[in-house]
Amino acid sequence: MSIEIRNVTKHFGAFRALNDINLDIRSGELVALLGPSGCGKTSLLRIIAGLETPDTGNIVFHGEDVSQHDVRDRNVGFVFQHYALFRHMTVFDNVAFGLRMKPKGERPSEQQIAERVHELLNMVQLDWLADRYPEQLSGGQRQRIALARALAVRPKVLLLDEPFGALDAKVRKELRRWLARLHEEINLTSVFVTHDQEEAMEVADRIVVMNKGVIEQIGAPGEVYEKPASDFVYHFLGDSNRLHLGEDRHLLFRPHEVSLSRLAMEEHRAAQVRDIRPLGAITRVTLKVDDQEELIEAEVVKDHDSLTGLSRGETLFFKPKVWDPQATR
Amino acid sequence: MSRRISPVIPGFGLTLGYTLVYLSLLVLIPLGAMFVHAAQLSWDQIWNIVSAPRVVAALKLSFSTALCAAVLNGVIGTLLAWVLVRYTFPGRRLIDAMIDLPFALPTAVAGIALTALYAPAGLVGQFATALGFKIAYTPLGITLALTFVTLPFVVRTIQPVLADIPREVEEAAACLGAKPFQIFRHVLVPALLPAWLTGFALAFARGVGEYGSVIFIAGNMPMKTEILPLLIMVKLDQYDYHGATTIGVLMLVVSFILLLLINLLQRRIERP
Amino acid sequence: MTTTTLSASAAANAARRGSAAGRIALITGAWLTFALFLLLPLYVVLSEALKLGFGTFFTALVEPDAISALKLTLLAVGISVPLNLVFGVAAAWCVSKYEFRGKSILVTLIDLPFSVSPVIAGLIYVLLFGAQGFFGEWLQERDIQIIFALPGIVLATVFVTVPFVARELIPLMQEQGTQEEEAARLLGANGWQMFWHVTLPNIKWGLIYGVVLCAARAMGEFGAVSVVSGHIRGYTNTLPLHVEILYNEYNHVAAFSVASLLLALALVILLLKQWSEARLSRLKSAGDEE
Repeated sequence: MSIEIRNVTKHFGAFRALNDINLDIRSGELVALLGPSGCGKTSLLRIIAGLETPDTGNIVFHGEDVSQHDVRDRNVGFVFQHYALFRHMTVFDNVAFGLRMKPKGERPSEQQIAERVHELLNMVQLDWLADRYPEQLSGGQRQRIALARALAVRPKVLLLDEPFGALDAKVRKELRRWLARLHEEINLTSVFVTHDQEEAMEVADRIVVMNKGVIEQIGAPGEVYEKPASDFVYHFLGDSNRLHLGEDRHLLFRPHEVSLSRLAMEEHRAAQVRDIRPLGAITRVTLKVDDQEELIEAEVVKDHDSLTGLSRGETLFFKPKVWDPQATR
Repeated sequence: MSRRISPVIPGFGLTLGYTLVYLSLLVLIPLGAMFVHAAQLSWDQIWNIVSAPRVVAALKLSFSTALCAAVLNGVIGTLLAWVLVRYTFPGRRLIDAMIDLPFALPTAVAGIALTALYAPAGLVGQFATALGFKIAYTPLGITLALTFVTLPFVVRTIQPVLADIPREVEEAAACLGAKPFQIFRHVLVPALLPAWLTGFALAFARGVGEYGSVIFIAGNMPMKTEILPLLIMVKLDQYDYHGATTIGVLMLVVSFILLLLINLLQRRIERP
Repeated sequence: MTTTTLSASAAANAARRGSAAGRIALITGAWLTFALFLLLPLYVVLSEALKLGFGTFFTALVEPDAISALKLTLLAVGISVPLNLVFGVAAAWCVSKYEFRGKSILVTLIDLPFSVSPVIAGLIYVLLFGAQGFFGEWLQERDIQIIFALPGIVLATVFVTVPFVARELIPLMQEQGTQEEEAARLLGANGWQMFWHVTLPNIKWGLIYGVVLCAARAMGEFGAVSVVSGHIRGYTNTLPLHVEILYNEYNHVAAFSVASLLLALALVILLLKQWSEARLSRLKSAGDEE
């Protein structure tokens, strides 16, 4: 099922959360809405779900305008940032909730409900927790139960608000790989919101980078990383250095896109070594260039020639590898 | 994330409408009727009622005893809250549960019990008699009764705040060389003062209006131990609706001004 | 408001804290205050009630006037509590689930009856419905009696207990937010299903707590009811008023006997309150972990 977002604008009081958003999401796609907090990504997700009404614009599901549809009739699965599990219900009852709320005619029998719930709990590998209450679960378990609950009613679209935001680093990595695999299995059109560029790059088919209520760029992970459409996207998708070239012109480059040398070389600039940090496979060298306050960070493999016997205060020569005139402004 | 009127949570119109109608019918219109009634009187009539010596005496008595009771509670309540939050000792849970007794106990029961206790021949009153003074049937008795019925206010407003003060704040102060009294003065008092004032104001407002627990122990001597709410009662029994209404409005207005002042003071403390 | 969950940390810190002498002095002070202020009045009620033995005690309780006062009290509680329960849920719903202009004024108005003297609460209904009141003549022509009758007693009781349920629910529902309700709607629940299956179970203990406090005050209200009741024995006397009449007739033993019945009810209410409060704090601490 495809999702089309047409000219959506949303204000909260005087604050403009979304400004004329247009976005097409293809059927079966896994899309990340990426941006800093307050960029409007959560508002957009809530508008798609029907939890929020846009001031103007339409939401179209598979050719059908659902803007006026009640939230119950949109048939979306939604996973909240803090899961919003029903705290007074067991895991089983949480997952069964959507099926039990169906009108009498459509409601499956209790036995069919039980089968469906166990099928879903097996899918999220938590069947053994059916009788527990949400407060007895770990964060990662709650997250998976929330997902099972959302999928129980066979939604046509799955929406996830910061699905990994409340988890610790290790669980987060495991779960996002699991989610990417799950998406491949069930192939459900899915949109998730995140402020973590690594997460978006690792999980999503396409990334929508948002800032201050507008879309900055839409593209595959490699595309937005390699060909950022704006300085904002460049900065947001990874660490970056800014080298001033005078006359309001500057060059942006990533720490690993740099060539280092102990000797003066053509096109290389001299810099003073401020700090050397071995970070495992790579080593980060912090450099100070004359005529600019901003420091430059360079990352090279740990046994790089230029590092041998290097100490603070010495002079090193560097040159950004990608001398991309596009990035110069 | 700010949430306005959500399109998916139903019932806003229904619940707001019901709330407004219910409040209007039961609280606002009846209270308004009292002010309308008072507004029909001329300023001379109002002044004559308000400046009558008996009313002035009752006004002074009601507000001064309520103030004394609130202050007394400010001390006792802080002590109780402190001990209940900071120490474990035998009977702590019992005391904690029983603090609310004055709220659960009908005021008339409190009234006759305290009278029996503090009457000249009563369990406690006999000691006062031996020392040559009276508790019941004097302003002292009224103050004690008010202290009893308003006891939970200060304790219950301070308790959660005291429990929430992070231990680290006091430890940090101690690490910076503060002595226990300095910690109390500079760390705990500023943190507790807003809640303390809230409890104080609640106790005071309740004390001014309290009737049931006071009328038994007060003795109800006009000019000496007659409180304002009782005076309203007396005027009503004499079918003096003008008098009763005027005193009622006077009580509400004076209480309101005092609560407003306490509120302002509280804001100044919170935002210096 | 409970401190039970704090006991462990309080214990650990008490060990580290200040001089032992100061601690013992403070705890002794608390015990003395407790004994003098709270226990002694209880003791007096019971000892005065049983002064002449159990026989007189029970006679005072089963006397027809006492029974009819008990019935009237239960009736007043039975009407005013459900009314304020529904009001409390509705008020808490609109205040906690939505943002709108004038919300803080509404919250202040809900609390207003707390700062109005009970005597004034009675007075305002006399001014409206009494013989000399705004609607007095109209009511008399139709032979409807509100003041000095059951409706007046109920109105006065409702007035003084308006805020109790709403006050307990508002902070609780504000803390719980709207996400579970939104989740229920997304899963296909309609408004009533959402309320019955999600909201109500979540606020259950706060609701019970508020109802208990509301019932306690309704049962014991004296000043407001005193103004509108007219003290007609066996007809418009509630239990607290009955106590007053017996006391003023110097029938102290009977007065304290009926008082001890009210005291027993108060202790039951404290127990119920303690119980619902414990459940509530467990709910809250479970919520905090999320």
